[in-house]
Amino acid sequence: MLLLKKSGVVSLTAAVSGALAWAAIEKPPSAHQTLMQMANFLARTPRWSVTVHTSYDAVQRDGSKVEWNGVRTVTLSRPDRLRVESQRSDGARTLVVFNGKEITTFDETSKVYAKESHPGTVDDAVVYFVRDLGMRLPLALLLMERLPAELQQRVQSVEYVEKATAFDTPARHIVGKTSTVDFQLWITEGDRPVPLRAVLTYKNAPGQPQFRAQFTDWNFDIQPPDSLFTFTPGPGVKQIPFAAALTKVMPRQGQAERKGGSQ
Amino acid sequence: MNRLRCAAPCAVGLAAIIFGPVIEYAPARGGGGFHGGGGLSHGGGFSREGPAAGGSFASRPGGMAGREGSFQASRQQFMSGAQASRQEYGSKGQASRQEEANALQSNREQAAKAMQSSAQQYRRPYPYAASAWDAGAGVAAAATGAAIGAATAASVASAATGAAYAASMPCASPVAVPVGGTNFYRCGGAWYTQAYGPAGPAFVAVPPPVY
Repeated sequence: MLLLKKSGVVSLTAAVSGALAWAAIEKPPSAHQTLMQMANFLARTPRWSVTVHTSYDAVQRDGSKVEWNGVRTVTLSRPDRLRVESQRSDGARTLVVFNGKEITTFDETSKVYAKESHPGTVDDAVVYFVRDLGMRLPLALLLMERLPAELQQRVQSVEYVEKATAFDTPARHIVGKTSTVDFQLWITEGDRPVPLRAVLTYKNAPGQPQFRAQFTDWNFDIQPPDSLFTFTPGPGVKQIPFAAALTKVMPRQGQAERKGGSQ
Repeated sequence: MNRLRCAAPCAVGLAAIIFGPVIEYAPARGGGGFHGGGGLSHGGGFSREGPAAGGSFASRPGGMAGREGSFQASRQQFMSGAQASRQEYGSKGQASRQEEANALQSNREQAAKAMQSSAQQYRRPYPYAASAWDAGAGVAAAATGAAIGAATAASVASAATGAAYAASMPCASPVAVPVGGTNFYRCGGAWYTQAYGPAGPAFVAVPPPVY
């Protein structure tokens, strides 16, 4: 009888333990937590580099889409160093460098570069480059220390899809929405939650084009030299203004002329 | 010299008339070749431009008027798929999602306050909520059109601006005129300078240089 009772208790305990274990296994990870873990990790990591293979849709006039590809190597050293090397699918190469004081972009094909002074952090430079100079810096948000706050502000909803095993390392696939962009992210599990893939859908734009990015070669143990963030123009390379800064160039010429002219 | 000054408004206006209809951001497909040089394609090529080119986590709202119906259908598909998947999670998942939504909302409010307080470090008021700072990032027409508009505002009507923007030299034999460290190029009666825009270096119509 006693044996039976003991046996019953053991069975009950096993059943409860099993149920709890099942519940623990089946409960999906929090999508919001996954997103914010990635954001906090990227924002707090002082130095990292990554290679990003990108593609995006350009909707043509007849409604058809053409996909354009490129590859970027990003090197970030907080608080104020950034280098982004890009190569388009047609081979055209460009560079964006920020050294804490100036932000420079260089087009190898045209042998021209544009440079603007903007002392500050990478966050400052990125906002200045994208917003004020109207330049492109895909996935610029991921470079910022303010990434967690930016995501908190923008993301309206986020849901967990599944555990993805299609990458070298297990990843959490999440989907989210901002007011203008639907996004999907595949974020590594573990203590270094970084994106492995991102898909952005511009849901309000005609044709709902997408931007896609595949992240490889994440490296957090880099010691980039200062020279990596310095741009030295080679022979025959000339400086031109940023298009958005033309207004600064043109009035100066007028002033120079009024004072006697330059030529 | 005087003739140059007098010709200023006419020259830039003419440039807009000449290049306006020809140089566009998304030309109709025709030639069958892929020409993406400089970011803007010319006759027969394919456009590289569009909101996805910037790879931003935000884009300008609007632009889909009258197309909501088709998206409604896909949203419903998404929602029904999500509903099915949610049912698997059970009631615990429901509670967890509610907590998550509440946390998200609360965090958003906190973030908004935090960002509000740091807004003054930027040159312009920090834009958030409806339009993020990277909304419309790298849209060639917007950024360069604005630059051209600003540059020519003193001499021509705004109607003459916006499309006079070319990836390559707009004419075969331009006259190069360096002024104050900047090269200007005269193509007939129009003047250009090379500037770095979101789609790469481009020749932008400008008022005639004063030299």
